[in-house]
Amino acid sequence: MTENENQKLQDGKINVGVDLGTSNLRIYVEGRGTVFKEPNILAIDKETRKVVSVGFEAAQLVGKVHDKVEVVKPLNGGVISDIDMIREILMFTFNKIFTSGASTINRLLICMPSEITETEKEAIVILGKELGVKDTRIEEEIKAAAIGGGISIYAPSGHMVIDIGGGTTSFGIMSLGDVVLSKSTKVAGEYFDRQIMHYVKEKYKLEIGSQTAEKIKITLASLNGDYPRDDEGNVITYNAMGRDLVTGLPRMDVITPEEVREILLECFESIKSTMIATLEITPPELSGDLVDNGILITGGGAMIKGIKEYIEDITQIKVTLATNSINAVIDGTKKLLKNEKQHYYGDY
Amino acid sequence: MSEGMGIGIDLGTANLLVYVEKKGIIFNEPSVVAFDYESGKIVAAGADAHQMIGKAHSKISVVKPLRSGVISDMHAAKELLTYVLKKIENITEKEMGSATAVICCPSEVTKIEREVMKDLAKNMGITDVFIEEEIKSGALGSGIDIFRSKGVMIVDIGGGSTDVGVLSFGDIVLSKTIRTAGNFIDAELIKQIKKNQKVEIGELTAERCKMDLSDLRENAPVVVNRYAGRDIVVGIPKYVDISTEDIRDIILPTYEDIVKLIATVLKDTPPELSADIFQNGILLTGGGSLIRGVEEFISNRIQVPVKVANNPLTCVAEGSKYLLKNRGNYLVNPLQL
Repeated sequence: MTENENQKLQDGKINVGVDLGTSNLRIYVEGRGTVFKEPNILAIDKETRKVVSVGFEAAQLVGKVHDKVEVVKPLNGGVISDIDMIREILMFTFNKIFTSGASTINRLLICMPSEITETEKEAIVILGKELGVKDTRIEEEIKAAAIGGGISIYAPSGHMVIDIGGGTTSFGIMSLGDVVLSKSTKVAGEYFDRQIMHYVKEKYKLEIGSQTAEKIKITLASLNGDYPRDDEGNVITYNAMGRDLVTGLPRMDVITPEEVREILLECFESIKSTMIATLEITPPELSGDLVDNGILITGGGAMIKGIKEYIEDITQIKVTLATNSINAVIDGTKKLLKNEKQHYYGDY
Repeated sequence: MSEGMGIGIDLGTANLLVYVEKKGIIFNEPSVVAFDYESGKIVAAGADAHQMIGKAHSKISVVKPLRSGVISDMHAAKELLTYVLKKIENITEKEMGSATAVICCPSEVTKIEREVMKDLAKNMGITDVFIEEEIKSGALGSGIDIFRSKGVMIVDIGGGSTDVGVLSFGDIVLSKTIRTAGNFIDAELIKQIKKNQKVEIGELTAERCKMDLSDLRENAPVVVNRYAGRDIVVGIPKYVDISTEDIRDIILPTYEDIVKLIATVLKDTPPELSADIFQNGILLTGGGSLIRGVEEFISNRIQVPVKVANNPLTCVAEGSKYLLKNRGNYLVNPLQL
């Protein structure tokens, strides 16, 4: 670190970007990189309302805690469920990252799902002030994802980004440095997990936890016939462990990728219709640009096998998967923090 | 002639051209301006703003200050002109105050519409303003000596309006305007593609398509180009093939209308001037004269020689050079000054 940067840090001139997603919380600090990358979950003591743990530690507690601790997700399905919890989680992590807490921060950029309301935005800005930050900004996740995914959105040309995250799948049309229109559906990572749990319960009479369901999804997810295989070329299966609904005893069942594909395809029907709805309301000029510019997929959903072909098949448009799929938003905040202006400005 | 600087402004529906004495044409770009919604500041103007049409998000509003040849958004027009005039180097407010400006407008604008144009210049701090007809300026700019007692017919096919006028002895004898011109063709094209091919294309695409494919020649080769738009049935982006035939279906009736207008003007023209026009022919200016085969198309129907000006897009602004010298006075021939 040069002396200049050192000085900057002491002066409390650090810029910080936060990706406040439904499932993950990522924090980027200028000059230090992405310093925090953990699930957006916190566990608090019910009586004292004090934070017990945050991130991975708290995520492991899901479904495993006793009465005295409550595990909370500050965001649910892309909307703020508890603003106090957002304060708690930000305070806790900032105190962990900076020796003197949030007051060191000069500019705080928080990326949130598109559908949060103006009042919620205001609440976040007030929250920033309470934390001692001079300049708090809110940006749409989809915009940061587009920038982080490497699209130059400042040109007068339409780009489409699909961000398949934990709580929501968002579709955004970008032009001139901002979001022209966006739509979202709650059918996303966590919804897939729930559908898997539901399926296993119905079919095998076996109750599995959401952590197990997520692991099944990550290991087996594929939208086309190309299933994940092991080194010998055999299709991988997953041994799901849970509780037998009838006997109440722990049990194990084998889940195959075909089954997961069936579940996913059903979920993607809904994603598909939202996508078409987005394209339907896109101004024709921008729609025309999409044919040339293609669609970018970011978020954890970009890792599902065969998603590229699936979307290409529906839209007949070239689809690219972001190389930094899950980090696209936080990478975007890095660039947005440097940006003084909110959107396109020429030399005027 | 006053001491100050002379500024000629051709405030067209499609393009804005500004001529400054001793500097030439300093601005020749589409008359479009983009504002930031919150701050009201200009974000882009001219060609940059033109590219934003139909592509902006809710924080930017893209405005065309003129509709059918007249100012429809005074604020935007003012901002656009202010921006352009700022481009003139080393100009002080005082100099601006002593400048003389001529603004060219279509011939059939009402008195009120003319006053609006004057107000515009006064808003900008220019006190000495006069309004002249585009066709007069266009004729001068394309190098025709209109100060002789010889009839000249000029047809200006612009973005928002088509002007037909007969000039003699330094001024307009008679003129007529219709508001079907370039923009009208664009709008019709969007409608037709939507109806026949079930694809909606944007304003910019339609304009580009018109420029690429317009052809009025008989037995013109059929060219098919591919443009992108949105399928109105399924909603997804789609390519659409547009051929010269499709465009022909639209521009033919439009140009028939223009021919009809020329015929109407010719019918009212005093016979002596008619004789002059029969000899000298008709001069075409404006963007609409760039279409291939437009000369034959009109001369086949009117039986008068038709010629396109050498500088159809800039002649109005260039003509303002002469108008600044004689302030539109028909008795003073600026060509001899």
